[in-house]
Amino acid sequence: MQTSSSIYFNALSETRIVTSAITGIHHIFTYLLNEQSIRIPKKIEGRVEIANDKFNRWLHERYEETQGKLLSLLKHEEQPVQELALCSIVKLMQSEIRHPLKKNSSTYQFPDYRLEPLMTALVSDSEDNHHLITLLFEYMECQDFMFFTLLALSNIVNVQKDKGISETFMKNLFLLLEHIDIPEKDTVPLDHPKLLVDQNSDKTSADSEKPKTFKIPYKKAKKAINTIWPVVLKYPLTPNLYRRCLILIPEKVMQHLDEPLRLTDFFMESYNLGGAISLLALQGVFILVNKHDLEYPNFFTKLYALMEPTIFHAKYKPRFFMLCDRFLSSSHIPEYLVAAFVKRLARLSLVAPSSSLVLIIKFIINLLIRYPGLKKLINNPNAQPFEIDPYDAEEPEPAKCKASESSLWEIVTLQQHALPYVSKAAGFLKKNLPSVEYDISEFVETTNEEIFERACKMNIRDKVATTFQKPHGLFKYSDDKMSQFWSVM
Amino acid sequence: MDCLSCRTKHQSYRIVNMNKNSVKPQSVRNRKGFERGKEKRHNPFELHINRVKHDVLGCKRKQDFGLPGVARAKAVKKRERSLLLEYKLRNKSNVFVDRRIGENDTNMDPDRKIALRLAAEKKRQFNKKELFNLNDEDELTHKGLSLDDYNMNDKLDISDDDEDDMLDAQFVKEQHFGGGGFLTKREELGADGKDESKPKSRKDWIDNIIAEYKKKKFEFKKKKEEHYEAVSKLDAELQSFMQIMATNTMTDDDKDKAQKNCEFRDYDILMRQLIFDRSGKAMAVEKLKTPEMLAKEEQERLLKLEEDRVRRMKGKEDKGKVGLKSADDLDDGFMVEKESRFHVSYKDGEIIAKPEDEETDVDDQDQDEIPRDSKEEEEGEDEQNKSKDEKDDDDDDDDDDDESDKYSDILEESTSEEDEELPEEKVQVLKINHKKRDMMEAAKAEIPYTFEVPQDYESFWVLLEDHSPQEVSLILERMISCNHPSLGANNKEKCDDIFVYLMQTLQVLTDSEDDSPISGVSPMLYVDYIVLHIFTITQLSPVNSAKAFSQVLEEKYEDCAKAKFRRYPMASTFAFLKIAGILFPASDYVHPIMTPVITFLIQLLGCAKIMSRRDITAALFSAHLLFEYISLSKRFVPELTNLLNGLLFIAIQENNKTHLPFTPPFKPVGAPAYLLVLENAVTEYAERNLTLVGINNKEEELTDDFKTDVLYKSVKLLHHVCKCWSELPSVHSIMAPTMKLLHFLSLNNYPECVNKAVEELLSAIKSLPTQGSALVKEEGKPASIKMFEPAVENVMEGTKKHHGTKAYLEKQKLIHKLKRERKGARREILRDNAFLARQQLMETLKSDAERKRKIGQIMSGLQTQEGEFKKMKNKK
Repeated sequence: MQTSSSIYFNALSETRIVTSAITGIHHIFTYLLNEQSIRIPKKIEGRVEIANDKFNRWLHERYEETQGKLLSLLKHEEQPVQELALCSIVKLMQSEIRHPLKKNSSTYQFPDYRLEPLMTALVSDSEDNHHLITLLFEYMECQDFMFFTLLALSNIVNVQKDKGISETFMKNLFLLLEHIDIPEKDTVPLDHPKLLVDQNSDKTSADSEKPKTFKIPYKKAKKAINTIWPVVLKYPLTPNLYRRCLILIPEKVMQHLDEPLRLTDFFMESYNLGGAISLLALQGVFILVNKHDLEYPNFFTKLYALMEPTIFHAKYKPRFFMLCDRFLSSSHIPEYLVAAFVKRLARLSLVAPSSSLVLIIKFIINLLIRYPGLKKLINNPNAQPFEIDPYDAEEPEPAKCKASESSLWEIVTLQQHALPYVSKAAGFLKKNLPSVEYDISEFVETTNEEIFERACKMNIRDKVATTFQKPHGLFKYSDDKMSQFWSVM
Repeated sequence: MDCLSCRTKHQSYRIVNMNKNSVKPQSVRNRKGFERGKEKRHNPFELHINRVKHDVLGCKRKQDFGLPGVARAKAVKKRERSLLLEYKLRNKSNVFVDRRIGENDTNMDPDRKIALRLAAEKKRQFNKKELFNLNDEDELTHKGLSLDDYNMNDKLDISDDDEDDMLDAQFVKEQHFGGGGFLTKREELGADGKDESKPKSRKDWIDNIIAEYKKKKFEFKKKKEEHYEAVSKLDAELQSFMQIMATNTMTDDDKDKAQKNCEFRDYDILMRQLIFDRSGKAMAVEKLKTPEMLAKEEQERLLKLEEDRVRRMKGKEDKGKVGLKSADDLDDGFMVEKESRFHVSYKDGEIIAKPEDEETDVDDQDQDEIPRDSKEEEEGEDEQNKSKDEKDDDDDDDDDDDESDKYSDILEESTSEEDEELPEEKVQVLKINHKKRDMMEAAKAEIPYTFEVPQDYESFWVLLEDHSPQEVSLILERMISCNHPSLGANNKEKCDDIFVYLMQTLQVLTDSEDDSPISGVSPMLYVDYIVLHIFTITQLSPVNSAKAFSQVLEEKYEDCAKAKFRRYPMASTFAFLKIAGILFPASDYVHPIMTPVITFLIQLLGCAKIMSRRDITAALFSAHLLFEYISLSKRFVPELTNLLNGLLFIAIQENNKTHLPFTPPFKPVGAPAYLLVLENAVTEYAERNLTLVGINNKEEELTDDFKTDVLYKSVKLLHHVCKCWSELPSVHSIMAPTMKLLHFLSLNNYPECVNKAVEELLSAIKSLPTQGSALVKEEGKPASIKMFEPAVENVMEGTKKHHGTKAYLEKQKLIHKLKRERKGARREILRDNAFLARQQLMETLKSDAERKRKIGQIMSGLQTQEGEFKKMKNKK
């Protein structure tokens, strides 16, 4: 019998043999599933089992056994074997959807009984299954797979929370959680949601069967999310997980939680930590304030304080500026507050790296367009000449820094910047403001490399300006400014 | 025959066109005549009336009737003139060309034709050959008389006819018609006072006249005779004189001798050589310039280049491009000129950079205001000039000495034209180099004068190996001048090759201590000399050099980008960044080389971490370099102050540094945050230069001396930066972090000069100008109302016959025209063929008739003969 060899493959340690065995088994069961030979025959009273039924039952038993063995192979020493086993399991699941073993009453049949053991094996307590889980990301795009994974995870978490949660478990869990994105309740379901069945299958076989539809049952999903996250947040997170948490929650989780305001403490603490963490907490806090009516009077003061020279070197700079753009888009912010932000950014431009200067300039232009009253910052004919800039950079309270009495001299300074890329952008002062705001996302990720490339692209055609004073050495020429400090050796 | 038909086709096509043009007015004329008075009556049988189908009112009819007979006759005549001629000449290879002037031109005026022909004839006679042919029958004439001997003699002859009938004007005036009126007579009378000629009879009077006349004539004759005698005598004497002189004529030998002994002979020979020389050696050249003129020209050139540089710095477009015109522009070229002030500056006691017209003004002013000073100055100048002259003389001497050297060069490589053709600057360079040559007399002997440009870098390096820096410089100089682009087409590429080699050499030299052309000499010593030659080549071919340089720059950037700009690169990168500023102007608003270079430096300063002594040296070097690049254009770079403030920051001994202003890559915590803190107080400090080699040195330790040095230099540079940016409106805010950091710096540990520098910096910051007025947007020009082209619409009365776009209609028209033309041409060709057929038929008939006639003649002759023969027979 073909299957007899499979029973013994566990004993064989040689990788190559194991791999070929898995492949063989995979092919065999795929064939059998397609032929619908694996079945649990119905027991009918008074009817004698015929040989075929017996065979089918035996096949079913072997199939279950194979599944068990494959799962155990996920802990094999060799990584390729693990990966192959995982692939086989998922592929067999695909076949099972097409040709279910049991006929259920529900319209869409997903072998969740297979998924749960798989997930339990993957989200293991002891081993970091990072490499295996990344393989699953491809399937996580499928709505059904994602949903049932979520359910499985909620079950696992429920079980695990009593046992005590380890760091490895959290790491594994997070990898999966980051890819679960349940659409909101009211969103219209997609016409053709991506399903596991369609994944990697050839068209002809898919078309021949009637299309199955699947809609995520929102209530179940919500319940699952609400079981998982409180448990996760109770656990003392490592800094890395903490950061990921801060990004993940506002983006994918918060809208599904029953009581998002319970997250207030979490976000507030993070926000008050300062540095990069508070940057990340910004979005959560903002959602709380914006959608869930949280009273947080110092929000903008905090934001104001976050604007430091270090922000331009932070990893989350693009994120920060995108969020700032959103925060300052509200029409209910007083003008003096925005003026303070504008002036603060302008001051920062004097110490910011050159690659961020265009971003700052465009950001300021956007604010000037948004709040027409701020035009006095760039055009104030009635003001008396100043001894010093009235703006107080040391004042932590944006309302008291007198920014609206000041002028944007910093932008005039930037017009003298050494890079034409920057000084051209700063030239907006001479022109009329554009009527449409700039898309900040175009500028948030400008790097020095891009600026260098742009500078190099200037093609040298027929004429290049050269100097005309003949040098006499590396530090010996007219207009020399370095020879008093430097020599060749 | 093919060819012929082809030609006829073409011609007939042309004829058709001509017909159209010429026939039309005729027919119109005809019709007019017909309508007017029926002056020319046509034979009704020759008329062909065009029947009108529909009579349209107000529509002009093209042709009511035609004259088929006349038209046919005309066509035949035309064919006889054109086609028939060709037909007759069809098998003839020779062509008779009538080249009489104006013969084929019917439009030409006959008078003009004759005049032209006469002129041509005269011209023919007056050609080179005829010019010296005095024996020609064509005589020289004067006033219609030929100037030969006979006439000349005749003039000298005593001729009676001469002036015979002519009376003296005075005589006529007095005597004819009663002496010209009474008035004159009376006056004469009054003047004489007496009444002498009053009662003379008419006869006496006439006799008197005749006598006087005869007397006059006689006198004239006598004078002429004397004249003639004198001339004849002279002629005779000349003859005898010639006989005497005949013995004394020069022989050829004499002439030769005289020529050889002549003291100007050399000059003559040279002159003749130069005259007949075609090689261009003796071409007219511009006059040699005095040293003053050269200096002045150089000054003017520099001034122009400087102006150009300032223009580019401001990022303005070329002058050639025309700016936007205002609506009120009259387009008369009038521009409101800005007051252009000229800044006079002094250097070494001489005014530099002054255009000529202003020069005098300035001098005048100077003299007016401080005559004494100017005098002194003049004296000083005089002295200087004197010394300069002397120097120049020396230079000249040197040049002369070197002349022989140069010629030896020429002999070797025949590059004789090089020196003459070099631009002035090149000449000066050569001068400097000549001086150098003297110093390197010994080396000269060993180094060959010419160098081929090697094929690859290895052989180039072999050339330089085992030579001292001066020798390497000499080798390169000779290599460049041997392959100067002005000497040949291929040399430009060779120069580009040299540039690439030099870049590679620079890389090798600055990379590490090991690779030196000569062991024991530091490779860094060579750098200065190589820079010189890189500059020379860049001047020769800026574009290609810039391309090569930008490639090197991109490579260097890639290397740094691999390390994500975390660490400062080695000295070679800095050497390139430094050289860039020497070769190309850093002050340009946009420059294909300098903009990337500045970007590179900015990124280095902004990203690279400072962990060791090497890093500090490199950072300080970059800062100095960047400052040099921006100092002329006074541009702003935040990274520069960030780094210098950072250096101050790591010199501060404060436990909690988070409240101090700092910018990444500096960090407020950890060991690098206290890198420049002194271990012990430093009391003595001698200022010395940092070195480029120091960037390569990884092991050197941070000493207190070095820390003091770095701090001192940073403070100094900050001072320079502060001065440079003093005109920026937010300079206060830029310098605010520096102020704060200086406040926290424990100055007690530092020596006197550092303290002094810090104080200077503080006072400089405090004395910065006040903030000034708020920003006010300049009122732009009022936007003009948009003007549109007037939309002219064609008003059509009635219905349009054709529809479609203009281009389509035009095309249709052309197609229609082509169709008609083709039809006409086809018809013409048919008629041509018919004409030719008829012609051929006529010829056949004619020749047949001729034959018949001849046969008849012969037959009749034979018959006569036969008849006579029979007669004779019968007679017998």
